[in-house]
Formats: sequence, structure tokens, C-alpha cells
Amino acid sequence: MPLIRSKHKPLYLLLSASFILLFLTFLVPTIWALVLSFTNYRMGRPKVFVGLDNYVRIFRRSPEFWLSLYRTLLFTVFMVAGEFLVGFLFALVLARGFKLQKLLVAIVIAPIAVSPVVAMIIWKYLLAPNYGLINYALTMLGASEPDWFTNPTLIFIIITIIDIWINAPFVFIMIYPALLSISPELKEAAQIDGASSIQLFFYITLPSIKQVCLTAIIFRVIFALRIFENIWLFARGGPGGASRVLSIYLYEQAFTFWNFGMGSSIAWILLVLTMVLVIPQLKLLLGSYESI
Amino acid sequence: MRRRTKTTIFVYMLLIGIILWSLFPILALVKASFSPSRDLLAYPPKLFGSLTFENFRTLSKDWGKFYIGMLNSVLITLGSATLTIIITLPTAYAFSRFARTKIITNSAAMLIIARMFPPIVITIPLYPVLNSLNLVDNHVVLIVLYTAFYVSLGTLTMKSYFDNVPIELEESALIEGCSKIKAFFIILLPLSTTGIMSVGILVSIFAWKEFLFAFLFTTSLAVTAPVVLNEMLGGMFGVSWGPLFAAATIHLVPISILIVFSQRFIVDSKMLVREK
Repeated sequence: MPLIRSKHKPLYLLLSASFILLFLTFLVPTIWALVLSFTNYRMGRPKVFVGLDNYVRIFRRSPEFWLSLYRTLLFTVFMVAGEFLVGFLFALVLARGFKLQKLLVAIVIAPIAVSPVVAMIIWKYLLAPNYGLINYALTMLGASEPDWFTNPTLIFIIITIIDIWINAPFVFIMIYPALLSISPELKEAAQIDGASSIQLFFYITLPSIKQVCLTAIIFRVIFALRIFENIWLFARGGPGGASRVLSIYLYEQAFTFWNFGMGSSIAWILLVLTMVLVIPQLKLLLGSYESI
Repeated sequence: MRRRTKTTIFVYMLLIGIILWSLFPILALVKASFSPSRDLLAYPPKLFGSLTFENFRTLSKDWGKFYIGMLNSVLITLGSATLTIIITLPTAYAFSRFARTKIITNSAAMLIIARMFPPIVITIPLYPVLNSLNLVDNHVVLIVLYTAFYVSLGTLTMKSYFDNVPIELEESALIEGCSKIKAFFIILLPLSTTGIMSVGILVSIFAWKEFLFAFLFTTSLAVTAPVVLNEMLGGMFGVSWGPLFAAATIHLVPISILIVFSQRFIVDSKMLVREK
């Protein structure tokens, strides 16, 4: 039974701090961004209302926009698939239980401690030509030295791998506790009935954690769509724009060319894209809300 | 029997792979920060060279700014954690202890939608405003922004810990003439320290690592460690790896300690949700 029934005054008071903060830092600036997206506002110049010009320019006359949208979606698919598979595999292995279990969990979630900047410092060094350890190992194995910093395909691959390294622990954190909470009786009963371990996985394990997996994937998709740091810190959107995703396109328009009108339009496109994907899943997300 | 041994060997090989994948890059960094600078560019790469503090000395000599960044990061992280806890406590209390009316469910939905929101959207409207108000390069701005990013997750995490405290405890206090506010402070709050810690830790991990907003909204006074690290990485005359590794290692240490000691909060907070 609830402690307090329906007195509205104290309720509003209790909710006010959070919502005033969200109102001021999110809602007002976002709506202001929508207004700016209909202007040709540049820092230090008066705003002139230009109607839908920015959007027309983006959709009709900017192949770069479509390319960056395409790159964003491509990164999202590969990153989320990789993060999920790696995090899921790690959780499955660790859920078997080992000695020093706590230490193993700490090791698996260790990349959480690494900020994107530090991660890029490490990986740039490991991938450096000549003295980089990874390239050295590859040449020892007989491969020719890959040029991670100028070949667009290799940049795509390596950024995806680094992103998986950074984010797979977040998937692990969600799935591992879910695996542990599957009731052992259920598994035993199935085993007594003669279920093989493959059947056990598909008929007991997977259905029990379906919700968590879906939630993890949705969250990772949301975060992959807005990806900025993990790409910008490694390649600055390059080489030649090959890793320019929507966020980087937005950043360049706004903070390199100081074209705040265009930047705001891209921001709103990114926002709508995210919401289109999220709103249908809202029911699921309301039930569970994890992800760091 | 033989099949079982095979599976065991396979699992342990996987385990070794997992450990290498997760830990090798971090260990490589820490090791490199203690290597003499001539070893860092050696070919073939030297895995087991001598150890020295040379890089840390160079760092202090050439990059005093990094220590300012560290200090700012500490201040901003502690500030965001404290402010988030203060702001989420009342909202979480309402979510946990009030009757489930439309207001409550709608606000929860709004919080979750806020979490979906790409923060980069607000950089453009904020930039000119903060500039004209002379608020660029201000610790408080970053603290408020980081808090806003975590209000949503913080409130919902805190709520699930409140839910775990039996309501009867507060009710009996109320019967004995205790006020609701007092019952909150002497009963619910002390029994929810784990939740408060969890929220603080979640925000701290985020604030310590955040780059984009710190990069856009600080220049010198409030510059955070990740921003200085980025500056060192993108140097005009090539990267000097030695001091950069030393700085990266220093940046890694506090948060690693936090994560090792708070592992149970991080993994358990998910566990708690699951039990519902």
C-alpha cells in the first residue's frame, strides 16, 4: 500500500527539482534549436528567418548528408552487433562460474574505466606504423603492414573494433546478472527431461533473457546513432570525410563553419531519427531502464 | 567424460582470450608509461624493457596544464555526483512512495524519453548563450549539464533501491508521531546508502570520462583532464608518447580504483532491477 495517496501539492514539489533542471537544460534549448534550424544564424551575425531552406539544402543538395547518414547507420549496425555478441559471449562464459569470479568480472568490465580519449591514445599507439605492437605482430605473421590511418575501409573496421572494446562491457553488465538469475531448478528440470545443452540454451536461457537482450540492443542503438567521441578522437571524421557520421557532420557545420542554422537542422534530424526508433519501444523501456 | 574435458579446455581458452582482450590494451598503456622514451619507438617493439619515472617527470615539466585538468576533473566529478544525488532523492521518493497516479507514470515516461535524447543537440543553442553570459569555462555549467544527463537514470536507480526498503518501517514511525520528512531522513535514507552510492558512482564514471561538452565549453580555467589529453594527442609537432602515456595512466588510476571497489554496486544495481 502506498504511503501517501493522492495529495498533489507535495508531489509536485518533490518532482520539481528534476523537471525544472530537465526543462532548462534540455527542453528549452531543444526547442530553441528547432527555431534556429529555420534561420541562417551564424555566430555574431543577426538571425534571418529562411523557412525550410536548411532542410531543403540538406535533403536535396547535400550528398554529404546522405553519406554521413549512411555511415552512421553502417557503424550502428556493425558496432551494435559486435558489442552485443562480445558482451553476450563474455556473459555466457562467466556465468559458468569460476574461482576468482569477482576478479574475472572486474577484468571484463575494466574497459569501463577507460575514457574515450585514453582508449584512443592506447589504440593509436598499438596501431602505429613501425613501432606499433599490433602491426608488428601482423608483419610477424606474414601480413603486409596495414595502414590503419589512411585507408577508409580499415578505418571503419578499426573504429568499430575499438568501439566494441569500449562498449561490450555495458552489454555484459546487463546480461550477466540476467543469466545468473535464471532459476537453476528450471535448468535441472530440463536436463532431467533429457535436454541437450544446445536445447537448454535455445529453449531456457535465451527466452529467459530475451527482454534484457532487447533492451540492451535498443540502448546500444541509441548510443551508436549519436556516436561522436569514439570516431572524432581517432580520425576526426577523416580521412577525407570517410568517417564523418551525423554527429561529426553536425559538429563541423556548427563549430568549424559556425553555421548554427545548418547545425541545428542536422541536430533535429538526428533527434527525430532517434525518436522514430525509440518511441515504438517505449513500453519495453518503461519496464526496464538499465544501461549506464 | 572425454567430451566434458574438451568443453572445459575450450571454455578456459575462451577465458584466456577474454582476459587478454579486456586487459591487454590497459596493461600495455601502463607499462608504456613507465618505459624510457627511446623504448617507446623501438623496432621491434620492446615488451620487457627497463622501467623509469622519466615520463612522469617530463609530464610535470612540460604539461603543468594536465594537473590543472585533473584538479578540475575531480571538482566537476564530485560536484556532479553530489548534485545528482540531491536532485534525484526527492523525485525517486515520489516515484517509490506515492500512489501510482497518472502524474507519476507520465513523469517516469518523460524521464526515460529524456534519457534517449542525443545531448549533442543542445550544444548549438547553449554555445551562444553561455558565451554571451560569460559562462564558458565555468565548472558549475559542466556540473549542471552532467547532472541533467544523469537525472533520468539516477532517479530510476534510486527508486529501485527505495522500493527495496519495506514501507512498513516508515508507516510504524508515522504511527508513533514521526513526520514524513523525518521518517525519510531517519529511516529511508540510512537504509538506502547503497542506492545513493550507486547513483554517485554512475555519475562519477560518466563525468570523469566525458569529452564533448568539456571540449566545447571549457578553454583554460575549467578545462578537464580528457580535454588536455586530447590536446596532447593532437600536438602540432607530432605526439610525444612518453608524457602522454604518463598522463593517461594518471587519468586511469582513480576511476579504476572506484570501479574495483564499487563492482558490486555496478553489477548489483542491475541485479536489483531484475528481481522485480
